[in-house]
Amino acid sequence: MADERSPGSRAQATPRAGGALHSEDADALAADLAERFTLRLKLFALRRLRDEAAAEDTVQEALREVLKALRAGRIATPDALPGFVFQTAKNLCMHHGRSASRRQRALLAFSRLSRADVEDPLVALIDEERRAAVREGLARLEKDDRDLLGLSFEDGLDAVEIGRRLGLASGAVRVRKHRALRRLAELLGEPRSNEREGAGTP
Amino acid sequence: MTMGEAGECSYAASDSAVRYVAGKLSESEAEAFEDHLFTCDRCLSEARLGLEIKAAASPRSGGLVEKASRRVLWRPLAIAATLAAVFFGAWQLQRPRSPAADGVTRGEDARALAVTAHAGAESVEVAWTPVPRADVYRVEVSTGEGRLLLKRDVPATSISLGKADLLAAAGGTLYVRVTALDDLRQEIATSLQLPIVPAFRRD
Repeated sequence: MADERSPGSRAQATPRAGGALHSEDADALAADLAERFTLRLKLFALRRLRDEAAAEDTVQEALREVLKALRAGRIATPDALPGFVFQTAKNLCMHHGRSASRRQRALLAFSRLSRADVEDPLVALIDEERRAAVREGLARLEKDDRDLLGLSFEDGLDAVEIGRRLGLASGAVRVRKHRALRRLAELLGEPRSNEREGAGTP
Repeated sequence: MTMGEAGECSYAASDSAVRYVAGKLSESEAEAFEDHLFTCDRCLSEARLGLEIKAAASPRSGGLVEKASRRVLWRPLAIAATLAAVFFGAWQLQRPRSPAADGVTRGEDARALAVTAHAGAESVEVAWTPVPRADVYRVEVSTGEGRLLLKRDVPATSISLGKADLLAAAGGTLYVRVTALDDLRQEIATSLQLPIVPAFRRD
């Protein structure tokens, strides 16, 4: 999966004053858009479409649409770019969803499997190599950190519930969780300040 | 937004990433959070790492084909397990008890607890033996095909499952399993699968 850029890099993916871009910027702009938005678009599309190939198509289609709009000077300010990308993806998913839902229902009925039988599509996004790396990273964490991350993301407990169980204030749980995530990210070789956001997921 | 200390972002303060990963956000909440992810690197990072932690806890799904073939093997095992559960449950309920041997969990190595079920006209009553140190009991009901129909955590040692809970599979045999969890949600004892046949039918 391509990297997701930090806010500091956003200026690269915005139109120059006056709208249309110079042709020599086009490749860099496309690469920058992909780096910054691919993971975001993929999460958004995959949760709706529940199909990795369809989600990948939607991501590419959305990036093409946004690039076209940027070149045409239709995105007025840098601040408007994330909203434009989000809305483009939403429209594409709605369009795709209408035609796909009938097909998907038929397939599910045919296989006699419900959605509950199939792994969460967002989780399925993580490849086995990355899962192994994360397991290794978790094993190297302090037990308290590991338990806290397990309660949060394996058991799905919020900070209030975890705080109740551990005798901590919810705010303290969130700070500890945040630090544990940062330590895990460091063990996984990710930069501390999140210059890289898309590591691991395809 | 960069990944600073917790509390910088209103979504972080409401555990949105945790609830997103767990699938506990409503559709409108999930969409609002995903919209937010387009501008917040901190929440994106937490959601991504959260998904990776969740994925690391389970081997990768083999997809529909593998799941279907696993089910073929599962069916005879389920029948054997449920028969064992019936005999084990009956033995547990009939044998004399002493304070030292309360329930069926006898020390850290005990892994089973006894479950009984009674199917009435309007509900199925499920009860089980208490387990020391249990904080909650996780009740899971599956269909004969292995599809999870219901998962509920309860503090008591019984539960009443009504038509609304089981109607999707009314008419067939269902399988109940109860797991005792301690206050850190660690499993300390689990039952075998108990077959139940709801007496009610679809209207």
